[in-house]
Amino acid sequence: MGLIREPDGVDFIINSGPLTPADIAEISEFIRKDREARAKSRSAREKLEAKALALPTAERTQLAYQLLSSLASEESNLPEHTWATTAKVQFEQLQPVQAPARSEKKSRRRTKSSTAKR
Amino acid sequence: MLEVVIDKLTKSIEEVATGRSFDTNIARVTAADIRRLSAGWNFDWKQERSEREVYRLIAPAVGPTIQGLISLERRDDHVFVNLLESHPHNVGRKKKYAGVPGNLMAFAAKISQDAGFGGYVAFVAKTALVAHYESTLGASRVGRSTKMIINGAAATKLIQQYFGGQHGIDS
Repeated sequence: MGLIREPDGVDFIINSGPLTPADIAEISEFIRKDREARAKSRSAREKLEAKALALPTAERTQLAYQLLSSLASEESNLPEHTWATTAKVQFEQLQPVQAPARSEKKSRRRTKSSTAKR
Repeated sequence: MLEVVIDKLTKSIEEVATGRSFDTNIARVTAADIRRLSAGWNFDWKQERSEREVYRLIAPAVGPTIQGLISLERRDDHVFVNLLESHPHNVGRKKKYAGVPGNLMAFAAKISQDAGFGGYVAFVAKTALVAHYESTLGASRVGRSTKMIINGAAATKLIQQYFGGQHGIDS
């Protein structure tokens, strides 16, 4: 567990003191805007999820994995992000299936081109 | 009704000399707790207790000594930290235990989350500590002031870091 240590020679003390009504209003305004920004980013993510779910399974999992990687850097609570976690599991399950399929295609192409040469 | 909140934190303070970690718990401070505070505390915690919610942090394995105190106010949309102080032996270059303030701030975030404020916590920082709070607590500065906010995402991270999903509220 990462313990939060105080920097050397600095003591972590809070003495907020009395706030003016203007200070309180400023804090509330900041919180309101922050909530709005978070809700917007959440709804954008939900739209993306819907779009991703409409794709064929292989493409969806590929996209999901890319998104998962980008989310990992943004989201502090990633383990609780159900969709991302599910996507990861789906991706991991599909990966071994996808790999032979690609090599099969390549070998088919090789066979075709070698037949054509002959 | 007397409300006693006890929250168990796991391995959340560290003995600086040995690097050993100790479990801690946080509970609402009582009048008896205030009476047995040693000399050297900066703030008038007796007065603070009469005006706001005050909580104390102890590490049971090392004894009943209060390692830190925090006072909170529940506002309309957030929890406001009015005072936070570590035991005098946890202050300065030769501090005995590190990590007390981080614990207490994580607790404030949890109170905010439990109260339905989405984890939002506000406080006023010393200018010299603004950057430290930004990097360690994930707090954001309100404009160019020293007023700081821990938002929902930062609060979730703090709670997971310190509470690890293990906590209980007794009443």
